[in-house]
Amino acid sequence: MTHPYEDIPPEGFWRSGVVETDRMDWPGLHKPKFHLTHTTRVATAGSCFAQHIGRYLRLAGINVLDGEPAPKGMGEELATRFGYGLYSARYGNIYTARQMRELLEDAMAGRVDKRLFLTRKGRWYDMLRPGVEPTGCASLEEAMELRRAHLEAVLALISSTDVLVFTLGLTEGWIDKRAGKTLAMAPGVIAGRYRERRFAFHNFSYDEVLEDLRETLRLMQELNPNIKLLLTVSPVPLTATASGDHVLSASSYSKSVLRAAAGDVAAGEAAVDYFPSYEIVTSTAMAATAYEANLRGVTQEMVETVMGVFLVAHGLLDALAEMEAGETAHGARAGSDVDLRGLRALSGPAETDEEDADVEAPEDELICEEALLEALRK
Amino acid sequence: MSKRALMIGNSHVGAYMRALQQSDQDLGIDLECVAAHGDRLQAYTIEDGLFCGNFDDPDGKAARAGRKERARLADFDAILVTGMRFSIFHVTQVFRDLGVVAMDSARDHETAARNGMTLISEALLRRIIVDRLSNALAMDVVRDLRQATDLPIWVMCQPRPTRQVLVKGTRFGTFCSALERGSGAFISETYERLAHETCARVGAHYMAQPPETIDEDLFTDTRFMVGTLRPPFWQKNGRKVDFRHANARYGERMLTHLAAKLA
Amino acid sequence: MKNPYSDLAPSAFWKTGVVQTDKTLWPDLFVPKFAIEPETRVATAGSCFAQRIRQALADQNMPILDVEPAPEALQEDLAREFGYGLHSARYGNIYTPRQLLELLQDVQTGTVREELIWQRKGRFFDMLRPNVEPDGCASVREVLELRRLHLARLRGLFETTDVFVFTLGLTEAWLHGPTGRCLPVAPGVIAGEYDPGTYRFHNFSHSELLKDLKAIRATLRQFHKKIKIILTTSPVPITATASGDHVLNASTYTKSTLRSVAGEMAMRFNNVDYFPGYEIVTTWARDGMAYQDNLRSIRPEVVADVMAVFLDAYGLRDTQDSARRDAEDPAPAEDPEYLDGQEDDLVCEESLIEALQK
Repeated sequence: MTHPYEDIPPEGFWRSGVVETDRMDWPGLHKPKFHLTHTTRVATAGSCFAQHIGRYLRLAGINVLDGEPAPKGMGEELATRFGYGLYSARYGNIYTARQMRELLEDAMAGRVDKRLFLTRKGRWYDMLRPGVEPTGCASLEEAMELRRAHLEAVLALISSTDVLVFTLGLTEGWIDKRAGKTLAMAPGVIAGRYRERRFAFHNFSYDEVLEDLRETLRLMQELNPNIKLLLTVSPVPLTATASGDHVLSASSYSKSVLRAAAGDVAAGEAAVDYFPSYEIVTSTAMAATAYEANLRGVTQEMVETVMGVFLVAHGLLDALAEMEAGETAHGARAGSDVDLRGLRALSGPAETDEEDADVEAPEDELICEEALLEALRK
Repeated sequence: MSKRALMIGNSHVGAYMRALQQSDQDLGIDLECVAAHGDRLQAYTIEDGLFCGNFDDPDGKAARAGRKERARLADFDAILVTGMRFSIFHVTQVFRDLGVVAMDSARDHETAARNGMTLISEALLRRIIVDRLSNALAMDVVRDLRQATDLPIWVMCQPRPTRQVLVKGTRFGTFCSALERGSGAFISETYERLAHETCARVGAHYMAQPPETIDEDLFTDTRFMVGTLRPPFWQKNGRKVDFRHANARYGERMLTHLAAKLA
Repeated sequence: MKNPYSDLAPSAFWKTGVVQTDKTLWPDLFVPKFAIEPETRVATAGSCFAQRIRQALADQNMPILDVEPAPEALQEDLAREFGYGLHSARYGNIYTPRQLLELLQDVQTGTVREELIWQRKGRFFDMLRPNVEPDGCASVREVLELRRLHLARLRGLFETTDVFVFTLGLTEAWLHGPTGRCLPVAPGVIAGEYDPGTYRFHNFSHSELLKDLKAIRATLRQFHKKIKIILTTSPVPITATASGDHVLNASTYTKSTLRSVAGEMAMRFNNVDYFPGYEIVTTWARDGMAYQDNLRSIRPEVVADVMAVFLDAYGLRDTQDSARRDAEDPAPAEDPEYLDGQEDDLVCEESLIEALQK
C-alpha cells in the first residue's frame, strides 16, 4: 500500500518529533518564513509575555526599535514603571487584536477621543494605556496631548519597522460603548468606574480575532508595504474571567481562539509568520517546570528555552555565540554546541538572583495590568 | 500392512470402534482408543510422549468397552480426533441470529431482518465460526498433540444429526430455522470449509463427512445412524432415541476414506 | 472603585479557581446547561477518546444507546476489533465534524456509493469506516449492503437520542476527490492506495468546522427536535501531521481550533454544551502526569478523574460502586505494554499512522 505519510519528515510524527526529540532545542519546530538578521529593525507589542521576547532579541543584538525611549537620566526602574522600554513604544500591554487594530486606526487618523480618558482621585488616565502613567495626568489636556504624541510615535515606528512581533494575550475585553473602543483594562481597575450601561464585556470570537489581525496587517502595510508580522500567543493564562465560565475553561478557550486565529492568518498571508512559543511552554510533553508556583508566570528557564529555539531558528544564536567566543577563545567552536542556557548569563538577571532570591516571586519582572485583577478577588 | 492409529474423542468414537468390530473386510487401520463421554477428557495431559485421559473409570466400564485411559504416541502411525464439541452444531447456532449477503435469506439487510437475522460481513462470520471451532475441546487436544508429536493428526468429522432435530420434543430450533430459510447448503458448505481451515491452522487434517452419508446438506442420512444408542440420549414418547451418533456403517466409510489418505 | 470583577465567584480567578482548588474534583469547572437523568437516552460518537465517555456512562448503568450491538455469538475482543461496542453504532471513529455531517446526510438520503470502496488483495473496504471490517468484505455488494444496514440503524439512533455526545478529534483529514467525501483515515493506512490525483489533504479551519457543526446541529434536530448536544475535545495529540508543520505545532493548532469552535458552539446555542475534559487533561496545573510514556495516551486514572467530573456534574456517579471498582482494578499503569501506550484499549485508526513511519 502506498500512503501519504511516506515522505513526512521525522518532525511530522509525534513519536519522533516530540517523544524522542530534544525538548530543549526542539529541532525543526520553527522554520521561519522570513529571517531576522542583526540589521533587521524589529518592533514588539502585545501582552506581557512579549516583553520577554523584546528583551531577548535585544540581548541577541537585534535592532529592536524604541519609538519612545525613556528620557535621558531617568532611572531604569522608574522608566519601566512608566511604560518605557517594555515595548517599542509606550502603548503598554496590548492584550487583544482589536486593541492593536484600533491603535493603528487612531494613529493613522490622528484621532484622540476625550471620552476615553477617565479620572481617579482627580487624576486623568488614558483608558487605552492606563498603565503607562501610573499616577495619571494632571489634566485631560495633558493626557490627550501625551496620547497625540504617542500616536505620532506609533506611526513613525510602524513606518520604519521591518518586522513587528505581536504577542496575542486575551480574547476577553471591555468595550466603551459610547466611544466604541476596546479598553486595555476593565474600568475600575486602574481608573474610572464600572457602569454597565457604558461598558460592555466582550469575548472576541475567532472570526473577530482573525478579522482584526488581517486588518492590522492591512493597516501596517498601508504605512509600510514591506512590513512583516510575526505572531505569537502568550502562554500565560487569564488571571480572571468575566465570561461566567470557570477560569480554567475560559483561559483554555481564549488561548485556543488566539492560537487558531494566529495559525490561520500566518497560513494565509506571506507577510505573516507564527512562532510556536505557546506550544513549547504549554506542551504536555514538558515537565511541570514551565510555570512558577502561581501556575501563571513562565519560569526564566522556560523563557530561555523558548527564545533559544527562536534565535537558533533565525541563525542568531550562533552569531551571538561566535561573537562571545571570539572574545575569549578566538572562535574555537562555532557555537553549534553552545549551551542555550548561556543566554541566562547574557541576559544578566543576576540582580534577580541577588535581590529577589528570597522574596516571593514578584509576579515576575513583567509589567502586567491584567494580573492586577487578582487583587480584586473578594 | 494395517496402519496403527490412536483415536481420541468422546462418545463419537463408538462408530469407529464398532466398524472395526463388525466389518467383514480389512479396513486397513487398527485403532486404539482413549475416550470419555462428553467433555470428561478435559483433564487430559500429554507428558513424555504419553497421552493420558485422566478420566474416572471406577466401575471399569471404559476398560470393558475397549477404551484405554492412556496411550504412548510413538506406538502409532497417526492420531485421530473426533467429537469433543467440534461439530456443525456450533455453526448452526451462529446462523440463528446472523446472516451474510451470500445467503439468499439475507441478501439485503431488510430481507435479513424479515428472516430474524442481522446482516454481518462474511469476514466476521468466518471469524466467529473459526473462533468457536477453535475453542472446542477437540482443538485444545490437537494443539497440544501438535506440540508433542510430528504424527499426522486427523480430525474426523462428527456427523450431522438426523432429521429428528426437526421434530417436536427433540427439536433444535437452529436446524429448523436454517431449513425454513433455505440456508442449509450455505451453512453446510461454510462449516466444512471453516472446519478445514481451523484444523489446518493447528497443523491437523480434516476428514469431511462423506457426501453419501449426508441428507439435504444439514442432516445425516438415517441409514448411517440407525441402531446407535449412546448417552446422552433423549426420551421421545417413552422411547429412547439417538439422532446424533453415527453407526458402524458411518465409521466404516470414514475409516475407508482415511485409509486411502494414509496409504 | 467599582469594577466588574468584584462580584465574581472564586472559580473565575486563576488563583482560587486553579492554584488553590481541588485539582481532582475541579469544583464548578463544569456546570451543565441541561440535565442528564438516569433514563436519558445518550448516544456517543467521535474520536477514540469518545469511547472513554461511553464506557464511563455505561459503567454507571446509563442507557447508552447502541443500535448495532455485538451479536451474542461474538466474544468481546472480536467484537471490539469489528467496531462493536465502541460507540453507539458501528461508525468507527468519527474524527472530524465533516465526517459526521456527511454521515447524517447519508442517513437522510439513504445514499451509499460504490466509488467509496477500497480494494486490497481481493477484499473490499468501506472507505468511510474501514476499521470496522478489518478483514474487509468479500464483495462490493456486501460493503454496500452492510452500509445500508448501518444507515438504517442510524436513523433509529438519531430519532431516539436525547443527548448526543460528540468528541472532536482532528482537523487534518483526507478527502476523496471524485466524491469530495471526507475520510476517517488516509488512503493506504488500512486499505487503498494513495494517489495524489484522487485524494487530497485538507486541514479544516475554524470557519469550516463551525459551519459543519451548525449543520450537524440543524440536521440532528430534523431527526429529533429536542436533541441536545455535548461537545468535547480530545486531549490526545495527533499521531502525525501531513500539514508540513512540526507535529507539536500542528497538534496545537488542531486542538486549539477544535476547542475554540466547540466553545463557540456552546456559547451560541442553548442546546449545545461543552464539557472541559480537554482542559483537565492538558492543564499544566494538574498534580500528576496526565499522559503515558508515549506522551499521547491518557493514563487510565486520569481518564477516571475526568469522567468523575463529568458524572458528578450530572449527579450520576455511584461513588460506592466506583470506589469498589477502583480497588479491584489492578493498576494497569504497571503493565509495561500499557505504559508504552500500545496496549491502550481504545481502538484508534489514527494511531496506525505511527507504524507507517520509515
